[in-house]
Amino acid sequence: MLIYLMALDTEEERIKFVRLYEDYRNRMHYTASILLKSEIEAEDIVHDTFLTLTDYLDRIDEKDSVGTWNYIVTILKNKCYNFLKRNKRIELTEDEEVFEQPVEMYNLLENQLIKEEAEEFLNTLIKGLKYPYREVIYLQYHNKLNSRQIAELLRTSPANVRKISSRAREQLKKGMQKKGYTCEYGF
Amino acid sequence: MNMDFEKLLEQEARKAARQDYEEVTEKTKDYSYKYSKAFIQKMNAMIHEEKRKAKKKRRWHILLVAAIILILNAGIVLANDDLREKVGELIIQFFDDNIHIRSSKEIADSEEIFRQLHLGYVPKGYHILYETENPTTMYDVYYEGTNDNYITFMQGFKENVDVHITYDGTGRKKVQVNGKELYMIKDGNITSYYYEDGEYLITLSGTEKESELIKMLKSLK
Repeated sequence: MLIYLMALDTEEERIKFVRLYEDYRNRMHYTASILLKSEIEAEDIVHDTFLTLTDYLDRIDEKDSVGTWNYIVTILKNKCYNFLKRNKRIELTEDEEVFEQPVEMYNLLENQLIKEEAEEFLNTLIKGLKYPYREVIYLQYHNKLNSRQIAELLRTSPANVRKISSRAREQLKKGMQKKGYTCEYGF
Repeated sequence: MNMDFEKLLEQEARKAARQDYEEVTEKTKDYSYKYSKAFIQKMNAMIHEEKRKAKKKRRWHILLVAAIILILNAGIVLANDDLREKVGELIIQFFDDNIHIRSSKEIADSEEIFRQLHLGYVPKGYHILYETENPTTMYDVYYEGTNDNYITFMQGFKENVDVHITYDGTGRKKVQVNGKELYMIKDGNITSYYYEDGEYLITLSGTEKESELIKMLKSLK
């Protein structure tokens, strides 16, 4: 008979939680501080994020540090933006913009121009995606999460996640076309 | 959507995710921010699973769960209130798959100052993974060794602590260390020791050899 006792559940989970705390709290606090422009408020968000993470410990693979960070930062940013909205520090309107800045502003660095690699430019565009577009793309393509799993992290519906993903991909493709990357890359 | 774009998108998304992670890692390499006491206490509480009840008296429940358990001999342990042993003021109560250890006395909230004990000896190859910062009623420390070995030590005021541990029914006995009566419980490859020291309940648990754990207990001061 196999019996699991609960609560932060097993000793292994507690140790895993402690390791996550030690390894990621500074990255989390730094990221939250920039978004909230407040180190003290960032502490609250970090604490709140760790509370949420206790529900997802079994889904986190510590060996994949990038994947783990994708998980954590998505939850963290979700809480940051919700906090900012509640405190009316950002507008509550539906945001149609997918990129942080207009595509025309994304210029390749000289070495990238010399190389003229579509990959480099797409990489730049991906990093220029706004929240939650970038996070959804990372969770989809790196963590291989489905829309239901991503929806849980973002506290939204799977349908909304699919919409976000679809918009992000559509805008990335358009962005490539604007810069002249066409037929041979299938855009 | 064209398959080439999807492949390219996956390739670049994975690369971008890695670059973002490396960037934030680099920026926080020597992060000098000092977390507030309130934050540290909140995180300690979360790790210790502190449960604050609405009553005047506070009780903290610590669940130490060692591993997956097989009950080898169901005849030894039953969910029976009569199956108890007493070690000093501690009551050790047996259920079918776990043991409950608690103080026999109902003591009001203590105004005692917490005096943390220190382990003078830690086996080679272990490092601290986590320890309580600024303990006020409980202190614990996790040591991580090689090959998934670990040792945990906890010291807390007796009236604040309930301990539930899994037990495979294969080994339990009372031992004497430094003139104190200890309760030793085995659960697979995990050995745990429990005893009282004045107003404190002390627990030491781990996958290390019994002789090394005893050495650690003897080094406590």
